[in-house]
Amino acid sequence: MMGEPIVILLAEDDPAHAEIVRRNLESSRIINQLQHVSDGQEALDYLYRRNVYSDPACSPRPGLILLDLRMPRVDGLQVLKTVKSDPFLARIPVVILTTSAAETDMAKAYDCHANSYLVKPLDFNKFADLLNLFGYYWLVWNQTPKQDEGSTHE
Amino acid sequence: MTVENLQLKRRAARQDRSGVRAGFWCNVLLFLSILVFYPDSAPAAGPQPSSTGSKVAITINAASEYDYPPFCVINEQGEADGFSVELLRAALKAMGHEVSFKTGPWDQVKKSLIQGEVQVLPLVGRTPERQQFFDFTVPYLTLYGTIVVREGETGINTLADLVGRQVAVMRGDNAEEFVRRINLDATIVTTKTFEEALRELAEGQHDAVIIQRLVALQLIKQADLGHQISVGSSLDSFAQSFCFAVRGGDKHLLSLLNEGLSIVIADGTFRRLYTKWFAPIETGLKERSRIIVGGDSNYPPFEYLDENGEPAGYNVELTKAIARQTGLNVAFRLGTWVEIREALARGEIDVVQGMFYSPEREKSFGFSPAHAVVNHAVVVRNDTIMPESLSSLAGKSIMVMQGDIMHDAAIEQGYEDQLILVASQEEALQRLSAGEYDCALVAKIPAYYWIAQKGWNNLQVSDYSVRSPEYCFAVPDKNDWLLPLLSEGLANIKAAGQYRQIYAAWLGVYEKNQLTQWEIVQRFFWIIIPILVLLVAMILWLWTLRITVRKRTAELRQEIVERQQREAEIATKNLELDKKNAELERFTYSISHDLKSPLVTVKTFLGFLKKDLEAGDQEKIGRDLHYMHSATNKMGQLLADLLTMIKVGQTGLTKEQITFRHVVEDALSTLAGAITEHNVQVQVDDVPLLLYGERTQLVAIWQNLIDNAIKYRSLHIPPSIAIGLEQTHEGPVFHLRDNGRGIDPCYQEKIFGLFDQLNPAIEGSGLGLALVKRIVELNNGRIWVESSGSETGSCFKFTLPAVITNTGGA
Repeated sequence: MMGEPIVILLAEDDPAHAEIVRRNLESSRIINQLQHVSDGQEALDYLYRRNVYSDPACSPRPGLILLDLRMPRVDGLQVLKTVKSDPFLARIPVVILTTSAAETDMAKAYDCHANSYLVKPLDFNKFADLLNLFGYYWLVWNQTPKQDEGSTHE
Repeated sequence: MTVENLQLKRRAARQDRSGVRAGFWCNVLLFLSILVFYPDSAPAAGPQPSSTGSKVAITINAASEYDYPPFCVINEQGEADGFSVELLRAALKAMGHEVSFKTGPWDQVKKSLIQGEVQVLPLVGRTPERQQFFDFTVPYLTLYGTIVVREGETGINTLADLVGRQVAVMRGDNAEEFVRRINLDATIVTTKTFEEALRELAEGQHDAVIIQRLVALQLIKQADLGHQISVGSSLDSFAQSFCFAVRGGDKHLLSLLNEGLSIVIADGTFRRLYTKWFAPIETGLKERSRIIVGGDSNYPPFEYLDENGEPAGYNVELTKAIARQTGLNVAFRLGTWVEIREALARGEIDVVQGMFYSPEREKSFGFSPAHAVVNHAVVVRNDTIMPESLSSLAGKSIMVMQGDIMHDAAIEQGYEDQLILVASQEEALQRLSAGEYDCALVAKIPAYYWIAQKGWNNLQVSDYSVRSPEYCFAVPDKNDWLLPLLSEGLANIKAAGQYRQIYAAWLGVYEKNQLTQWEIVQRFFWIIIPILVLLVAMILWLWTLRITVRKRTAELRQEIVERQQREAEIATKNLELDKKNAELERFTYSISHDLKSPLVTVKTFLGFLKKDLEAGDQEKIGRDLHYMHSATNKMGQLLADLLTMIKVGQTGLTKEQITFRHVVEDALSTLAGAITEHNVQVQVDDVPLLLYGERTQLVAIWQNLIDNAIKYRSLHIPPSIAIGLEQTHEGPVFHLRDNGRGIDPCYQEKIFGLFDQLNPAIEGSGLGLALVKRIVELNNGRIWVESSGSETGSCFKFTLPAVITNTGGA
């Protein structure tokens, strides 16, 4: 494919699940850069370049956020709210990727302006298909306005 | 005088009774008259003062004739005077107002009222024609016409005797109107004045003059014609009512006058004025003649003929005293009661000195104020049982004096068929004593008199009175003029004390004074007791009402308090339920999520493993297996914790006594592997405390806390744990202090939630602290953590009241 690699911020507390996402995206041959944080607090630190992420070189602005809901310290929903209520971050597509198929979770996520809601399948092939299609859709076909890189610094 | 006048006089007469009653009646009359007359004043509006309540005295203008004696005349000072003038003045004064009179002939006087120059006229005869211009008060006097004839003329007594004769009247006078109205079949001659008519009559012209009786008397006196002509009796059909008159529509003044009039009638002013102005005229004519006073010849001690045949008794003495007082020339004629009564009706007797008043009798006679009250009683022989009352005489033979008030009373009771009429009370008692008939109804005092006099000791007189009629002077209607004189005389001798002497001398010996007083007291009590009873009943009722209200208020208050308590309880319960529900929801949610999560890992890595095995990538195969291994471990741990969690919530587990040390040692032994592995220093305070509870639960508290402390140990310094107990104001507080990583204050609440792990990299289900919290709370305790944050260690503290209290403390 073409174009610049898109930075994906993956917020996932379970290392095994993070590994699954990483492996599948790698095999789909879509150019991207996966940044993994292990809870909501770290995700916010990354987005606002705080603490260990204070160096912009280590924390490029993501073109997509892949967010688990249940995480220690700060959960996914809180991260979603923060992102969508910040004008500098609001246009970043946020895709929820969770094991929960509960109606309340979906409703809450969409109420907080999640762009998509995906449930982790209980099947290896399906999980692979999902991430493959996800990659094509969100990284190839989906268009977002070009953000002024400078505007995200503050 | 007529019925109206008599009633007025009866009212006035009643005043002369005992002080209490007179005052009482006076008030009643006043009250009644206000009731009767006041409605007239109701529609009156405007600034004029109204009724007795008014404080503003107003001078009312009146106009009076100067030549209508004795109603309206002019005195020597040239001022208005006369009966009507004085009456108007008195009536207005009673209402708090004054009056000024101007005088003139009738035409002028009448005109001045019509034109509004004056407000009231004191004397206006009420006729339909005049009602167009004037409003009239109630009549205060009714005058009657009469026939005047020459002295010695005996053929003319009534109107019927005038047929074919020549009759003179004044032109335009009521008298002319009267003779024309009744179509008198006689030659009517009109004269300019009545004086002229009377003079001509005296000189031999005409046969009779028809004229107002009082006017005639007055004119005869003035013209000194008394020896030539004589005045006959009143003509009932020729009557004229006199009133005060006001301008048509002057309702306010009218009601004022009516009220004033009723007051002066009630307070005796009217009677006083009447006597002052009329008595001299009427008596003037009669002075020469004797007044025949009639009485019962056998009604001792009131009236009877003594041994010498002379009239004697209380009534006779009283009449003599009054005659002396008023200058009347009296002669007595005593006979049987029936005979005397008939003579009175025929007019042969001028006055009867003792007659019981009754409304029926008042239709035939005029009554003076009572000069005594005579109690009547039942008399029976000693061998008979005294009847309880007048109404229990049915079937008995009863003797009464014919025409006596008891005769009337017995008929009234329906005993007519049982009556035996006798001529006198003496006869009744005598025959009763002799064994005839069952009983007699007689006056008490005469009965006592006869029984004592004749020695009829086999008779007994009832204690009670069956009737107590008023004993009065009675006159035929035509002699009404006598009544004011008699009343005046009676009042005078009462004032002089003479009355009491006569009464005591004749009646005192028979009267039980105490009884009279007792009667007064009784009457007083009859009035006061019901009022008191009513009052007490009202007070009681109010009291019970107040108690009821107070009780109900207290009950309601109690109810409200109880309801509020219940509501508070329900609210608390609801809150608890909400909390439980939320917890349950979180629990089920967490299970579904957290159990699924490792399953996803296992299944996905199985897929990777297959691929990696095919590719023979050894490194990846190792990693795949590692992830799967962790996931299954996690699931195992989760299931174990869940089971514990469910167990903790169960009730009915066996509780036992166990020392604090024992519990902590149990917990340490299950974790011995980890402790040794990480070289953890554990220090346990030597607390001699006995706990009471479910063993595995208690052990689980410390086990999980120690496990937690080991998992979150510092990576830089050797881990150490201190377990102990401290006494605080809220009771014993357990603590477990470590030197581990510490907990950021913002997560110190969150760590006790289900499946909340601060570090996902650390093994554990996230259920440990939730489980501890649950056990602590089940034992009514609370748990919290103290830590200042990163790398400062933390101290878990908790209380266990249920566990402690059940053991009785340390």
